[in-house]
Amino acid sequence: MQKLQTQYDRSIPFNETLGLEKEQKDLFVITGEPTEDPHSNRTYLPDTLESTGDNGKTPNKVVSLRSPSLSLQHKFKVLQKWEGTIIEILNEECRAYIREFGSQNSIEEVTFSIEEIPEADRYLVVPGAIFYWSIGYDDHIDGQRNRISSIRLRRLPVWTEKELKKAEEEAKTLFKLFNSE
Amino acid sequence: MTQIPEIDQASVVMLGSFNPAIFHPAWFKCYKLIRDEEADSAEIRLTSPQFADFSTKWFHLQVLTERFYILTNDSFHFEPLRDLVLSIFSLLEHTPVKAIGLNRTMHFKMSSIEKWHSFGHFIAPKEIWKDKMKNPGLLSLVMQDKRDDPPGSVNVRIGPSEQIQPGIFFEVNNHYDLKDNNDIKNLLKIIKDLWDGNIVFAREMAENLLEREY
Repeated sequence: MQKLQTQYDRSIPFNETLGLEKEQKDLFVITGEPTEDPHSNRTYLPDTLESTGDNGKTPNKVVSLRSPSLSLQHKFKVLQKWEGTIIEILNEECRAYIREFGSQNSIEEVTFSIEEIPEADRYLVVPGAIFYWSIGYDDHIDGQRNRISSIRLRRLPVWTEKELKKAEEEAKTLFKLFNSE
Repeated sequence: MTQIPEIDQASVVMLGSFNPAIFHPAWFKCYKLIRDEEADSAEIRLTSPQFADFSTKWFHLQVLTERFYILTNDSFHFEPLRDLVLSIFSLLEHTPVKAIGLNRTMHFKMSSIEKWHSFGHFIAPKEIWKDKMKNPGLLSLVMQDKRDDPPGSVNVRIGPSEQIQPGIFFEVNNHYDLKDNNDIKNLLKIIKDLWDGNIVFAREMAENLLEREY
């Protein structure tokens, strides 16, 4: 892949072809010097992220930034959504507490098959694990509407062995400190 | 009646100092932040020291040296998006961040073109413009409400939807300024404590206007 450069280089003509592959041509361009953008401290998504040099310098190779977006092949409509906590797993059945989002209703206890949980998430299914359960419609761009029930387990950062060891050492140090005579 | 938006997006935008080279699907896979299959099937547009951009089925991430963007248009995944951002910046705890936006954009379908025009007249009456314009029309309206605690503002942008016809979009940006660039704890607290409320607020903002007589 062609290496991006954003440094100014006068030796390269402005209209030099980028030599991008066809499928890369939907990339936009950043020039060497960004324009002073009065909205540069905004934290919502701009429509485009183009910036142009206003200092009289010609840019080097450029790659344009397209504001992030997602394909609208699907449109999702959530009908109901719950947050749940696994209580126990027994004989391929999960028992859990669930609470509906945005509702003042009390917590309910439910049971469902572990088959409802995607295989990729099943190793996370332990007592105390939190999950999100949504039901609604998935409208595909070709006109097909599917009713879906989706469960996703909550993911938090995994500690590495190095971090665990460091935490253990710190705990030992603190233990010695608090228990020293 | 509560109307469900045709398109419903949530996003997080941060301003600060980032290292785009880190944000590769392999890093997300290593720390189990997303499913292995999602990382393996991610569509990578570009990764470099200056710019990272990739998508999975449910989110799109783009990182520049001074901006971080992540968005989903799958309302089933609003909470996982929040969790993902929390996880990323729990791991990258020394990232200097000076501002964060928790955003929701909704596109609603109007029942008729007449209703669509009526709504436009309702939020932006045209009469005062007709002295000098032949046929004025609303492209975009932005309202801002400053906030003292935490410091920042709420910015609401409304306009005709380009993706749903006839439709109206509402973009609600909850902007937070961080006093200390290295206050990652405050950043995580804002996301953790305020995400749910902001998502609900954005919806209420839209409904407050859509459910009026016009």
